[in-house]
Amino acid sequence: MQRVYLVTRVRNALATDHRTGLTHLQIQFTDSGRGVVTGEVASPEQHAAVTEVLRSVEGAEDFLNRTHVKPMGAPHDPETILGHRR
Amino acid sequence: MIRLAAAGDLHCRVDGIGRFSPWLSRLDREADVLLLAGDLTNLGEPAEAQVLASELAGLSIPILAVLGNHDVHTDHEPEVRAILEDAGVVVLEKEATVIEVRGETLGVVGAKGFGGGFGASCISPFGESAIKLFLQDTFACAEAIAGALSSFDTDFRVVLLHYSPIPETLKGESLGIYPFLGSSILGEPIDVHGADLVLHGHAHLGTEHGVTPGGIPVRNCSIPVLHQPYALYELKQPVAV
Repeated sequence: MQRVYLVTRVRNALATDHRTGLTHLQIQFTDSGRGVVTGEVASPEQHAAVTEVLRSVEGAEDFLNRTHVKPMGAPHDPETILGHRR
Repeated sequence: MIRLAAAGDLHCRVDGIGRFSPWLSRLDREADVLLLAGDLTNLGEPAEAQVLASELAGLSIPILAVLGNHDVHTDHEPEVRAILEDAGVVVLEKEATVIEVRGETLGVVGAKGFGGGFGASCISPFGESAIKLFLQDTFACAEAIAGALSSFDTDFRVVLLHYSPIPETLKGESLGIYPFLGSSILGEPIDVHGADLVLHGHAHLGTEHGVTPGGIPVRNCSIPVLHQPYALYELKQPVAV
């Protein structure tokens, strides 16, 4: 299957499968032609779910799951927004 | 001065209980109002909305929210909205509200918004019914924004969206999907009628800071963009000279 169709299939699966519901991941290919999924996920459970979904898509079974969980930092100081006096 | 906390794209899941509550416990001290810019749940399932409701349970400040595309994915929008409203969240969909904080007033108009694209690349309501239907909600949101902003008689005016009204805060996303991330149709009424701040989410790979062509600050408060649980803003009146 041509890559463009495979990428579309994988994107649709990651978005619509209830285990993932992820619409913002990136899909690229290594020089050797292996698919790689990258981007942030919310939890280790969601990371594992990405692998499960990839295994269920024909042609994407050997894709690498390089998604990662990024911990949130503490909130920054507030930004001042000056109102428009009317 | 009114202190705002804002966050979008929480994507609450049933296996994510406790993800936000440690941070939210600080909010009563840090902000006067919490604004949530959509994608509060991951798939729009009522059980996910219950998770968020329990996370927000300890907060005593007003919470205003718009829904996002993920919140409507499984067609449970009424149930999701009802669960959040039962938890004290004011859900705004082409609706507005006014809050008073220490004698100052804040008008907030909220809508999910929708796509269409920007400027010369904005889709026109021409041709197939599907294209006209696609833009129908974007125009309806713009009309609601215009109506609210023109009627607010408040010290501050904020627009709360899920989709973006400008392309600048989408930088980092694939250019090809810009028409599905927002539209300048949403931006026009903001510049015509004026506002102090626009908040949106949706663009996880976007950019935090932007400004409308008319000079109004726009902030993409998507959590994946912020890399923090919420952003804080202080709305202040300029000093008269």
